[in-house]
Amino acid sequence: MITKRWLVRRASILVFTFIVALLLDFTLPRLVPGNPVLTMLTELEESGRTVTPEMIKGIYALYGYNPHESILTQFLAYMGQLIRGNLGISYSYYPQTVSYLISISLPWTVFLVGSATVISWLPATYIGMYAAGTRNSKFDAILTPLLTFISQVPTFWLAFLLLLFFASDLKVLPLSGAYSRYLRPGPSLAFIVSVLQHAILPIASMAIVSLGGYLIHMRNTMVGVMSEDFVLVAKAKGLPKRRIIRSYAGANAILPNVTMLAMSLGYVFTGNILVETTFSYPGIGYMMSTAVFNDDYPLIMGIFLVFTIVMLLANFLADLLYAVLDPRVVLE
Amino acid sequence: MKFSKVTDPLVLLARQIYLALKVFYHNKKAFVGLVITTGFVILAVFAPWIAPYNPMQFNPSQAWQPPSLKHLFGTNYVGQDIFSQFVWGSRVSLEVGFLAGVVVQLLGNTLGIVAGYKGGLLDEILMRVVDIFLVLPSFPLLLLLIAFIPSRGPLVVAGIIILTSWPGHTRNMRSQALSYKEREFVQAAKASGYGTLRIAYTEIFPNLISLTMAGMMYAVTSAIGAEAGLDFLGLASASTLSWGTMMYWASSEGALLNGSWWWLVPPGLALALVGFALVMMNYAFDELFNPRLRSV
Repeated sequence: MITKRWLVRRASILVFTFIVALLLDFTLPRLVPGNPVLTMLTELEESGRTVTPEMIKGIYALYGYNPHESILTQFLAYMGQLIRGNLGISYSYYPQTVSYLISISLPWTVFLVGSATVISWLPATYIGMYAAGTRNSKFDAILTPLLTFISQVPTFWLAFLLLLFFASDLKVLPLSGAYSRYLRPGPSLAFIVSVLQHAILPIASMAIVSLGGYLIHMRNTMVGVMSEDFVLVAKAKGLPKRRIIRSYAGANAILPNVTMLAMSLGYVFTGNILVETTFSYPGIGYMMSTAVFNDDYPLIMGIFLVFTIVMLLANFLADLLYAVLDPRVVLE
Repeated sequence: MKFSKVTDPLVLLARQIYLALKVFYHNKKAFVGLVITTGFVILAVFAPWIAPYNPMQFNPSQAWQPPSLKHLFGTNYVGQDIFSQFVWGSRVSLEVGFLAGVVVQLLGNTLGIVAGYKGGLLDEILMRVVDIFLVLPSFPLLLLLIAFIPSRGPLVVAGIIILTSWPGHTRNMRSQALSYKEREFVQAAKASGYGTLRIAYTEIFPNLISLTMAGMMYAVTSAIGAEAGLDFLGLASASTLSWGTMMYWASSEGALLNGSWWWLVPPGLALALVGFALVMMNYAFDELFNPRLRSV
């Protein structure tokens, strides 16, 4: 059950957190000694670009930076630009706007990490449900350590191993990118095949690692639920084991795993920065890491805002989903 | 439950430590975890004696050598000995990991227990801050902060990791402290005039040791991972030698293209093993904390 009080409270936390993220974006450039706009212009010139008067005006307007105004007026001017969807112009991809760069990279990330999440969550939940019955058997001795190890493997390192084997050694899969550079993006069969070929290794490296985590989580919750009284009663009634596992224990144990899934939807956009970088995959994570590498401040700040919004929504959805799935939960 | 009436914190503490040792002694997982962790700590502490070469020494005539008796893990593109780099590199990863882990614990324990026990305005403010930090995406936040900080040595990295990861543990400790607040032994201590910090550490904290240890393992693992991630992205200072920077150089100098697996495998495997060892010990603490899971 969801009360109005909870909704109001939760919504205010969301709005407040968003304002904190805005403040971070607003403050950080101003903490750097000197005039932040001049610093940025210098960097822009150092990277070999001609700075036009329009650009200077644009940058001043974007950050609402004006030494003659109060900080509050500057902040409001900055917010005004953001509301109009103006996140500024990227240095490293000049003259592209930050909003445009985000809009072309975001779909690749959603595709990549979305598939990896679905591919790992569904089997992990199913296997985890049955693995609980094997407590203190071979599962504990072999599978738990093995899965734990897998869940601790750095995803980008696994990506390297897969690349070494499939791309460098066997040469059956491509090394980097999202599709062959000889193809024109479009709804042609060749393009789709190329996209899938390029996605196999990044998806596999993410899916394998998160499979370990989901599976252990599901199994541990299941072990806990199986020792509850209502399961004992179900057993005493002589219900078939399969039914106890699925409709009694499983239905309860799946709840935390669903929350875990909803939370990881936030990481759909953030958690794969390292993997996308390993594959030079043109998603938003790779965009972020190159932006940091190139000191492309507008792009870094823009992507950080997008990440924050996504995380906020994912958190909110996770809470809602939990309350919807479990009628005993009262959110107030 | 002959102990249930004992409320002397020292006895409680002694009992917890005794139980912990017992679980560790009997528990294979904990044992494996402890052995691996100790191994890496020895590697880091005795690096100067273990590493056979100067890890930074160029030796172009020996470049791209596969593993051999002379070079256990082979050599890289300028002929540096990879085993020596691996041994020295363990220092940065472990230092940043344990430093960040311990500080996050201290912060989380103090703030969490005091907030939970005291309640009121302090609690309210602290928990709102925690709420905000918990939903801000931590790795991107790490990148955002790093981008604006000119110095990127291991200590700065540890500092930023601490900043982005203290809230989770604080919240856990607070909710636990809340449940101990009304217990008789805490009330008694309060009546005898103990101060807040004293109650937090001598009355409430001993009950939460296993939770603290679990939180610590988690904090150390994620700090080591975050540090390696930053280094791998090439964001560490150029002079840093760590498992993360080894992988950065391996990837940017084409270890993939010419198939020199010996440069890529050791640092990542070590990261996975350290994480694995810490989680294994964490399982043991979990069993200690939750008797239902206890297999001894």
